[in-house]
Amino acid sequence: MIKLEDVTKVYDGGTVACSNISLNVAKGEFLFLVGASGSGKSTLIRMLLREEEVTTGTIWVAGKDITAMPSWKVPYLRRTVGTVFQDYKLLPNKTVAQNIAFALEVLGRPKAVIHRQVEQVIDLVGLTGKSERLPRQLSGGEQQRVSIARAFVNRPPILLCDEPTGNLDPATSVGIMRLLDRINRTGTTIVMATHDHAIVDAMRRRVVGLEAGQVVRDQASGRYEQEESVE
Amino acid sequence: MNRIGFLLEESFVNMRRNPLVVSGAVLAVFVSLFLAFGALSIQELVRTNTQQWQDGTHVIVFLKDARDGITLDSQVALRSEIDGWDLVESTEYVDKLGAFEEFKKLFPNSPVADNIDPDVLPASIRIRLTDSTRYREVVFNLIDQPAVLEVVAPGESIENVAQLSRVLNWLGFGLALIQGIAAVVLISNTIRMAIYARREEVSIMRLVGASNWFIRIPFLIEGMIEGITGAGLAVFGVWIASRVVGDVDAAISLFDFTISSGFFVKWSILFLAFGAVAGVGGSALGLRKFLKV
Ligand SMILES: Nc1ncnc2c1ncn2[C@@H]1O[C@H](COP(=O)(O)OP(=O)(O)OP(=O)(O)O)[C@@H](O)[C@H]1O
Ligand SMILES: [Mg+2]
Repeated sequence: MIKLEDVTKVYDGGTVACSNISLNVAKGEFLFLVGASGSGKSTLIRMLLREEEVTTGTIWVAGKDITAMPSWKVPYLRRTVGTVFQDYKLLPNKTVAQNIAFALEVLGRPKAVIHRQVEQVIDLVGLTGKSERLPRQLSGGEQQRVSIARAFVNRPPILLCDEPTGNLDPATSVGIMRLLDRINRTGTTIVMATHDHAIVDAMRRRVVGLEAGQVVRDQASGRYEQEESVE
Repeated sequence: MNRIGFLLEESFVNMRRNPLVVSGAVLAVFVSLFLAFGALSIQELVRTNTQQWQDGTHVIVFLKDARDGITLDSQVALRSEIDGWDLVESTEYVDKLGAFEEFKKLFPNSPVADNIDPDVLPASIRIRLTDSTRYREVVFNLIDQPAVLEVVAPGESIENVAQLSRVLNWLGFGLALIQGIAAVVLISNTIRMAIYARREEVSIMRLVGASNWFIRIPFLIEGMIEGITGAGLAVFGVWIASRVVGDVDAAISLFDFTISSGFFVKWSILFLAFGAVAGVGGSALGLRKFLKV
């Protein structure tokens, strides 16, 4: 589903954010990206979205080489990849329903279809009855649910999450993770960058550790910290 | 289909968010197109009116009468002399009574007409020339004639009016051009400010997979609406002005102030189209920096 081959990213200032990363993510996998601040997790996710271009190397997403993709096709890439960020990235002047609907408006879906799918996904993320609120009238956890609903409403095969629980308290985080777990069970591939020990340790999914832009660890059902023991 | 509706709605919502800036852009388009349309209409009025005059009398000779020792016979003699001149196509004699009738027609409700003695108005000979531009030669020949009280050549005032209108036209079009450029710049600025204020939103839209065109179109629609609204106001303004001036026309009737509806409709459509194009162009200009293709 996602494949990186020898990907290196050097920013304009000379910072090497990712160096020689090769990685394969299968369909339906749930992968945690962990590592210290500045280790290159966000850079990696932005490259998967073509928000940043690779310096060298190749990335395939859903079977397409996105490093060679012309820029006018990038919107189509982003419609197959849902995104969830730490700061929610909701449109402040649109209601919950309008924010979620936007992902479908972009696809040109008929109004009736949009209405039905938005209602469904609002129920799915547990925001029933709050569809007419503006983002500022919601708690952080609720805003993150809206963001997940928007990312998931057109059933993309891939969901990329960059510290989705970064601004939330532990209890709310657990709720968000339950939601992401449910979405993963529908067959959606999820890549999630996080600093949250508790979540990684509780979920026991594949863990890829980055250090100074390099992959230093890749474990099938790993924990946040590298385990000293050998399997 | 739904997409078009959605994008239209987006642009209306955006405009409602900063009505002041939007009105500024509309006003600029209005002023520039009003000036241009106004100048054009004045030119058209001058053209149709001078045409009327040029088809009619070119020189008027007011005649002395019995009080100055000039008999009807010498008046008739002068007319036949004039008829003999090369430049003269035809003449018409208007006597004192005819002049009085004309006066009453020109000032229908004026109390002056009731109190005036028909005898004080001079009789006149109206002359049509074969070549109206050579009226000066005829005037020159006439001023020394003993029966002549005064010679008037509307040709002179036609020329003055025509010249004045040319100057006014250049001035009007110059102003309109400057205003037009200002309008386009203002629209592009409006859109740029709107984009700048919404750059966060725009980046979110792109993240969700909105294409550049999906983001651009509401802004282009916004520019177009501003352009068309401004042009519509300008057309409306010219229409109002022509109505006001048309009322004056009924009272004075020296100069025909009515614009033909064919002229008005044709140019209204052209100005509306121009407003739309200027609006879209201005907003495209504003978008250029923030959303590269
Ligand atoms: N736009 C940019 N221009 C230049 N350097 C950048 C840019 N974005 C990130 N960097 C640098 O690249 C490196 C990796 O940053 P990145 O944001 O990927 O780290 P991260 O692992 O997501 O960190 P965190 O856990 O704090 O979110 C850092 O040294 C950072 O300073
Ligand atoms: Mg980060």
